[in-house]
Amino acid sequence: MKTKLDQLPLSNRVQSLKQVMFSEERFASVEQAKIVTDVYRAHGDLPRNILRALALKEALARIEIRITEGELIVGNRTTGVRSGVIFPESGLSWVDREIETLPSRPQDPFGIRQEDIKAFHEEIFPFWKGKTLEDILDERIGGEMRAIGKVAKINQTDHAQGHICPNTARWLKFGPSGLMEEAKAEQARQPENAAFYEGLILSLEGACLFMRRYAVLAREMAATSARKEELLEIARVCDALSQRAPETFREAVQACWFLYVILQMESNASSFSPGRMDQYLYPYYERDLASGVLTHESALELIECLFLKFNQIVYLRSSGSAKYFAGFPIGFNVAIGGQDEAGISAENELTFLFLRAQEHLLLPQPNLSARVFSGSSERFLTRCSEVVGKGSGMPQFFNDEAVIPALKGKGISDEDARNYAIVGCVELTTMGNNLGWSDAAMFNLVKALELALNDGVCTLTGKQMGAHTGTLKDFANYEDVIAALNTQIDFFFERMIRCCEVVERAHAELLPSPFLSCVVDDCMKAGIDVTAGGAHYNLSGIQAIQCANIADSLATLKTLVYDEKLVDRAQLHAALVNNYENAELLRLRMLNKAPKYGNDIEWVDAIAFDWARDFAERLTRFTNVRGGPYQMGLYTVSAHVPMGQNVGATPDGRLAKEPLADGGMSPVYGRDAKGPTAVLKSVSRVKSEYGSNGTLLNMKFLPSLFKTELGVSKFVRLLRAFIELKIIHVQFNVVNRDDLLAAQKQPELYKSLTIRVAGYTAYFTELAPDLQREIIERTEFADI
Amino acid sequence: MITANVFDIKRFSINDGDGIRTTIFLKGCPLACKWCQNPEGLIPEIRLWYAKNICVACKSCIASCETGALKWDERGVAIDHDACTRCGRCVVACPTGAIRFDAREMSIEEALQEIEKDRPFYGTDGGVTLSGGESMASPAFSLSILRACRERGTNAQIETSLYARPETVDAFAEVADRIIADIKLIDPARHFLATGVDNTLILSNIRHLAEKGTKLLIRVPLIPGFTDDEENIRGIAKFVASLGREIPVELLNFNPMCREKYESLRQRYEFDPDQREIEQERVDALKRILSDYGVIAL
Repeated sequence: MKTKLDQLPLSNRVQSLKQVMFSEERFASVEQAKIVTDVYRAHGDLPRNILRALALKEALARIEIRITEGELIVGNRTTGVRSGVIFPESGLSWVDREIETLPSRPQDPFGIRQEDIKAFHEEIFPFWKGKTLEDILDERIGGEMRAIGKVAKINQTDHAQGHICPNTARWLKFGPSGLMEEAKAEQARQPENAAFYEGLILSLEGACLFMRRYAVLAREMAATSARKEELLEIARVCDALSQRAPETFREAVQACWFLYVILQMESNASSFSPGRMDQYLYPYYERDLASGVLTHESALELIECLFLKFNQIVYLRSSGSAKYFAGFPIGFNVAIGGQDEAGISAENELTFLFLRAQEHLLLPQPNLSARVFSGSSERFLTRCSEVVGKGSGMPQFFNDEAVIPALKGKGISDEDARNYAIVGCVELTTMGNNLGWSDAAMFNLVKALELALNDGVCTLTGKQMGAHTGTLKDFANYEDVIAALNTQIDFFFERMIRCCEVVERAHAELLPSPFLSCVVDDCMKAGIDVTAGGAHYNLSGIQAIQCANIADSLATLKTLVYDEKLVDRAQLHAALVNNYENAELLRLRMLNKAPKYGNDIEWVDAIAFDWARDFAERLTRFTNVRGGPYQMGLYTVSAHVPMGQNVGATPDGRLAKEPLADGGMSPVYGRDAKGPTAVLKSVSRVKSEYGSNGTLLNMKFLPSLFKTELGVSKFVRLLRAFIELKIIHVQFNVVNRDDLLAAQKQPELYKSLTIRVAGYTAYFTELAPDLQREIIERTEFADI
Repeated sequence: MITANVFDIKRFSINDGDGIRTTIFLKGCPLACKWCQNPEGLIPEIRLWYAKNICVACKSCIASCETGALKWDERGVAIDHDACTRCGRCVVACPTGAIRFDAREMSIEEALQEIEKDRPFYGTDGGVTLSGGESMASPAFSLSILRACRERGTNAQIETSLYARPETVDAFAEVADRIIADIKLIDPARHFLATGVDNTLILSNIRHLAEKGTKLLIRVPLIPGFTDDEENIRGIAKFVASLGREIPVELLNFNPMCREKYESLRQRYEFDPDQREIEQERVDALKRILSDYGVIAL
């Protein structure tokens, strides 16, 4: 059923651009930091929004630019590709500590030039000391954040706001010049907000300037280049975009990219998401195809050029943060497919071209998200499955049947909910009118449980951290455990909310974002900056971490201690405090002999749901400082590892400091023994209506499933069930050799890898080592 | 109450019939194929099972045993099934699940509940497959399940040796949406030596079902040294071609992963421990033999 679109070839241009991009060394850059510092030094007394706009404009005017050989879509915030940008306004303390070790750190290293280290230490850092968001927050609530941090980790303390889906459609409709006219008109109408509009105008002037500079550069290069015509075309496009809205598909793609580059230059934030590109680019595509200026091939090439660009901006994180979010994800999240505002399938030819681009490039960005629902076509689900089978983990799947009602439950209009997109990894948003503040904090419920079983004392440090609730020894009934856990959650909950409020206020004060405010409705109309509540929707998301471990721990306690009475609670308490030292058989019993989440056992899954729902309901008691609701997310991305390091031994047989369940909805590694359908059933019981900030489920499959059409069709059936079960999100990792090698080393983590043979099934880990090895040897992506 | 001893329920079965299926493995089989990949399914009774690969050698099971049925030797826990009273103390004592019962007695209602669990995944072609052991060896249980599935609109198929009385086969053909039947060997003498039974009954049952128009899939397990010779495949091809209906034949490659089960059972494993699947080239050549006779080879 593959059509011509699904089989378009990869062009030589894209292939060589990809090679060149990855062969280039990655550096950390202080270029913009120097410009911004200059502006703050010279104009420090201006209102903050004007100062920020000036600094952005100055950077857009001065930053060195480059056009790479062969590029069709141009623009970046540094001349080096994939450079890490040091961004002083939000926080520099980690840079100060780590700048010398950037090249040698284990996760995501960056080169750094000696003169840049010198500039950082001599010019940049001394000026910003005490002035950054991070420093100011540390002064205001540093002590409190540290006091509650092991349970409630407050985020957004050292970088500007991202995780936003700007109104790209509007940007395409009006272009910077059109938006500037609007800002001027609003300024005349609202003289009391003149300064706000002044900031918008300055930033838009910078945007136009930036585009013109690329036109000038392209023309200069054309004089001596063999690809003169191409460069002149680039110059024409960039010139046009600096003066008017885009008219062609090519111009629209270039305009999109300029928007994301400039947003990144203003905020250096994690994730400005393009959202539903197959929708808002489609009119340009359709028109150009009809008029003959565009072919399927040239459209795909432009999309692939844009895909490469998505990989050229990376996010420089501290070594600690890189551990949480490995691979410097920047979260250019592109959503394809799904339904339109009338509930009809929105798939179009671009949907399939985006899939083809992903299949060709298999790169980490964009974060490609397939929106699916009961009306999704068989062809779309099949193509998505085929691309998943290539092993990039993408597209990931978002289920309209679950997401739309969840968003509407948070006061989102029907139309906006149907038009949802995704930001960052899995966070849900409306398009173009939302400051979702989706990662305000992460609440470690498992740490709270550790404290609940030990009178509020951390078993790792011996410090009193939480409330005095007695210890497991004192809990004669299972209900006592529940009560203690509730007390511990309450002990931290409101303190967390108060910290979040201080953080949000500091952003509005220190990091107003005039350029972003141009492309998030209703800031322009309201005359209010996006950080101060100018967006149409103002939510804040807090993650509940990790319901799977809570369900496993409580189900194990209930079964072995309270129901079957096979385990003595004083003995277990001692074992937990001592990290199961000299109690390995007890630990194995706790791990193996009680039911666990992920196996389609209703009462166990209900525990996960109960705590998730209670958490979400606790959040409804508060309103954020921008006047919007809090909402719950159930995802950690890769933070399950460091968050697990903060938690002592737990009753589910987990040793101290071991990772928590991955994802957010996934069972703990190796504890789902009934296969993928049971996992999906369990996950579906943690009902989606409470996960409106986003949820994350990871599942692993062997590549053999995708080798045949029949296998793919069975996978599509699994997707249909995922839709029917109203689960918000799933991402499929196709297991590779490394995974299986790891499985051999640590078989207990891979219990759920099932080997399917007709009339027979065995668990990977119960196979003898030589047979395990064989499966590993067979598992290769030879056909990629 | 009608029950059966179920030794496994595999959800997301994708190689046992159409779509996504739940396969229910029933204990007890009239055949004793030397290569059986589920040897724990041969005898009908529930017994203790020992999974050496997850045993931590704590010997809690042995300490808990009051009849002396468990002993420790160089191969791990040795089970004296005659001495064992199936009291279950050792199963409770074992902290890892290495010592467990090899099956669970289930009522029809319980089995149907298990089947219902994956309803969202079945779609129109997926459903349940009864396997074993031999599904026809527990006819009352199996037929009740098949009938209940038909009432509920769940596609239900069976995997069987078809070594059963024609009346039984007829009863199953009435209520199964498809019968997946093995032809292991076409030569009666070789069949007898390898499986312990004659194949006349099996072949006549297949012919009978073909005449009735029952939806059939024939499977041939390719067992090195037993069934994988051209002569056997040619004989099977001729037989299937003679049925006068388009009945697909699937060649199932040898599965070396059952080796551990023989180790656990301390039974003789007929193959070199290093015996692996038959190379695809040879399988393809055997498939061509089927095609040469006009048989649809899967």
